[in-house]
This record gives sequence, structure tokens and C-alpha cells, in this order.
Amino acid sequence: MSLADHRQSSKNNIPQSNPQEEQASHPIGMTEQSIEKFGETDVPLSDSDIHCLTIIGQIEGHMVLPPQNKTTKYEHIIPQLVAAEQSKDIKGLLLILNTVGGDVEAGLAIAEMVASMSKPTVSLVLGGGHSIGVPIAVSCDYTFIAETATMTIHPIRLTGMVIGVPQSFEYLEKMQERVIRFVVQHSHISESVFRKLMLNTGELARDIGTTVVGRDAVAYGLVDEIGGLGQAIRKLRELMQQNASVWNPTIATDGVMQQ
Amino acid sequence: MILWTVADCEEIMYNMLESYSVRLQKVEYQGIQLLVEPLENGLARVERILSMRPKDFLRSDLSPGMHIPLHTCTI
Repeated sequence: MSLADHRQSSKNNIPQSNPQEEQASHPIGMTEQSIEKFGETDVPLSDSDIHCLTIIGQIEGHMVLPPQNKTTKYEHIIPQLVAAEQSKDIKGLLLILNTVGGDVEAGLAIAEMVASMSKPTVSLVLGGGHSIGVPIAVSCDYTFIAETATMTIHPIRLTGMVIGVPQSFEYLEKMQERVIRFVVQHSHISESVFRKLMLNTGELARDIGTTVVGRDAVAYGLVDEIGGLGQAIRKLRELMQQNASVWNPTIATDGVMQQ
Repeated sequence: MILWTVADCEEIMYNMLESYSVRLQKVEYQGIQLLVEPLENGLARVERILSMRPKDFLRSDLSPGMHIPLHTCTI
């Protein structure tokens, strides 16, 4: 269901108030208030069968992060993916990433959900798709990265108390294996190259690892193609058309319904 | 917590131990249960959707961080 349809159906489901009541219930006017207080304007809505999901800032885990963090909350993303998968009006998912990474559990949960969707998915990395953003980006059927965007590949880290026993390291290594395995399985990068990038010394000033810029991400096989919004939507439409012809043989590959 | 992020842990966790009080309130808005933080001017910031209907999560106007008029909610 598109946003416009959804809003319309939501309006249909709730009792309609008369315009005077509506005006009274919005004393200042939400639009003016949005512009004044938050610098937001209303975005023109159009019907679309593509669901756009943005992964921004920190991917929040089981702990609510302090308010200075801009976060993506898995408890909102996961049911949204369930809804997108179930909705007959949504035919494809466009994932847009500009994230610094975050919680491994939450990130992998989102990545696994996206990877297991039956509908076509395309991701676009803009700005940065760092750390746990990497498995999320590669979880889609096809991936794009902007030429100027970067992806940082570095070892995972543990917060809180660490007991100085070998099991601590083994546990951390096991956690790292999960992300490595996922990335290797869902992209064209080899395990040895990914590990090499992850453990590279001498590139990052305060960490070990590698910052991969647009074209390099494609060259390493991490991302499929350099591109922007236009290319991502075009590719998604192409995959949606292929998907439609698989599920409904009456629709030819050119998308025209056969009589 | 296992993190994989380029941001410094100190920056992420800054203020984590200090008790910043967020007054969350459970309300119903257009038939959907929400956890919101009441703000000034009769607005509330959506913290979380408390719904078992997946389609409620497709509503971009109810995404976490969005503002809704508190006076149209029922408590």
C-alpha cells in the first residue's frame, strides 16, 4: 500500500470531523508549526508501489541510546518489513543507507529480514554505510553506492566489562564471524579479501581496518554498481517486473497485461 | 553490548549514565497505541508504536521522532 493510499484508508477508518472542528483542533496549524519549529515542509505525495526505508545514524540495539544520537530503531524497522512483505500494494523495497553502524544484533536482524524478503530489494549507500551498515547494504538483491560514499570495514568492539580470559576473545571472534559470513554470502567479495580489509593496519588513524570509497567497493565486489537514486529506482522497477512475470505468467516481461 | 560502528563509544554513550528523565506516556492516536514523549505546544514526539498490526508501521507520520498533536490522543 502506498503512503497516499494508506493515509486515505486511515482517514476512511477514523471518524471524520467537520472542518471547523478540524481547524479548532489545530490552533496554530501543523504545517506552519512544522516549518517554524522543525524546518520541515510537507512533501508532495504520489502513489508508489515502492516502499522506501531509510537506515540512518546509529542502529540502536537493546539499549535506548542517549538523545544526542540519531538512531534507527529495530523495533520499528522489523514490523515495517513484515508489513512491506505482506502488503499487496508494495512491490519492491528501496533501502537508503547513511549510517555510522551500531549494534551488531539489531543490524544483523534487519539484514536477515531484508535478505529473506520475497519482494525485490535494492539498496543505495549515500554518504556512509559503515560497519554494521555493510551487511545491511549487501542484504538486498542489488546494491548501489554513490561515487562519493564510503564504507568502513573494521573489527567489531565490545562495550562494558570485559573479563580477561580467552573466552572473551573467542566470543568476540564468534560475533565477528557472523558478520563476515553474512557479508561474504550476500555479496561478491571473498572472505580473504574482506578479512584483509578488516584487519588492515596503517590506513585508519584511530582504528584498524579500511575505508572503502564508492568505486573501490564495487571493485572489491562488496557493492554491485556505482549509482544514485535514478539508477536504484530503475533497477528496482526492472526486478519488480521480473518478479511480477514469475508470479503472474499473464504479465509479459515488458509489463503489459496479456489478454 | 557488541557494537560495530565508526563512532566513538564515548560519543555514543555520552550521558548514558546520567539520568536524563524522559517522561513517556501511553496514548491512543487514530486507533493506534503509541508511546509518546509529551512536548511543549501540545505536541508529542512518537517514541514507539505499540501495535500488533504490521501495517501501522508503514505510517510514516507515526515513525519514531515524528510529532503528533497530543490533544487528539486519548490516554
